[in-house]
Amino acid sequence: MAKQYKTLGDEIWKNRVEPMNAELFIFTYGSLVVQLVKDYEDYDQVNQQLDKMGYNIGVRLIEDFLARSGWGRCTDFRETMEVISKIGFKMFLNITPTVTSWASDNKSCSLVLDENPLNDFVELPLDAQQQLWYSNILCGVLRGALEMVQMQVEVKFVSCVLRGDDISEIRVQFVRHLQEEVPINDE
Amino acid sequence: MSITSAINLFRQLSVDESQPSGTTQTRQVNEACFDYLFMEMVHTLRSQLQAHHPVPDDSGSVSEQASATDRGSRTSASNTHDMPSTREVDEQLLETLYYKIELIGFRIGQRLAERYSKDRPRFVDTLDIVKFICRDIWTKLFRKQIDNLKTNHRGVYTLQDSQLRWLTRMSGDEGTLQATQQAIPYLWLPCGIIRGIMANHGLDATVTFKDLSLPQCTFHIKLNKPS
Repeated sequence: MAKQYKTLGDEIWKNRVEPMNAELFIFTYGSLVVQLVKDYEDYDQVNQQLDKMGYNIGVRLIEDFLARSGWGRCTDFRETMEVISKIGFKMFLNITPTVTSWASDNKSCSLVLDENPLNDFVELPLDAQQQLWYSNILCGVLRGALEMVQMQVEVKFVSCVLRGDDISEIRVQFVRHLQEEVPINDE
Repeated sequence: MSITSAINLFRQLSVDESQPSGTTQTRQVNEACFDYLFMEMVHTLRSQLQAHHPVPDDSGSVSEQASATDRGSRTSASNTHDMPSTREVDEQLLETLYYKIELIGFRIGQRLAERYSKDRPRFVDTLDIVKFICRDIWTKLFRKQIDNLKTNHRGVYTLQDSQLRWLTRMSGDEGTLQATQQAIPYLWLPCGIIRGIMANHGLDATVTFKDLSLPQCTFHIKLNKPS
């Protein structure tokens, strides 16, 4: 079953997307984070802002994802996470994070990013290592995208190699299924 | 082993990045990722500023675009027909927005310059650096070279791209003119990138754009004389 996602993800990456050199993307993100750090002078606010930006991206990106993958409804949260990792991440960032550490109620799990293009060439200053979640935009993207398919989730980084941790791990907690409604804070 | 043969050996060993099959060496992402990020970046910076300088009413958006046109081509006569009060606010807002986006571009440019010029022969003169932007950098960013490069040989360079990739899919709900005006903040980024690359090679330059008609755009590089 898991193999099927991977095959589709690979196939989409090969045939249905326009790949580009990652450097421009990486440098743009880096410059943006630097700008936000200068503007806010507070890492917590930068984390929030990145998450918000990610959310706005996520609500748009889901359309692209659904259109390109042609994927239908997922049967459960486990399947959703597999699809996100093997098709979603593959399609956009050309990586497949490992889905692991499932809670016993199957409502929360971790995405372990073995590689992360955003982190390339990046080294955080010491004070930022304590507070900044450099790739926090990814959390927002997941939250925004899933909200558009009526799933409310909480997403946050729990560890990041840039902070000196061994792995980069995003924790995803399923909250509830949403009723069809106008998205909150849609902009 | 003589020095020359050692250098030749080194050349053989070094990775040839020009090969199109080199997907394993250079990381790639979906082009859409950049598009999403770029759109959201401009949006966020703009709304962040608007929170500080609230725009009184919706006529603000018109004056905003009009004043942006002035900035894009400083020589063109202003054709504004809106209230001066909102105009001033917008003027200020756009000034700050310009500063931020251009600076982000500048940082990108500096990094791109370091990344892509490390393995190439020494630049002989300024024109060589501009050519490096037109060929190497443009190919990396847009998979095509710039279409036309002109210079007066006195520190002014004009780079014309008849189909700038970032502009090809832009449109506006009120026709081309409006779309063109709305595209302006997105052009400050490449201006900054070019300035960043020049600065990384020790050249202080002013970069602007003119003759914007989607998706065609002309960049104007003017070297600043050291005072």
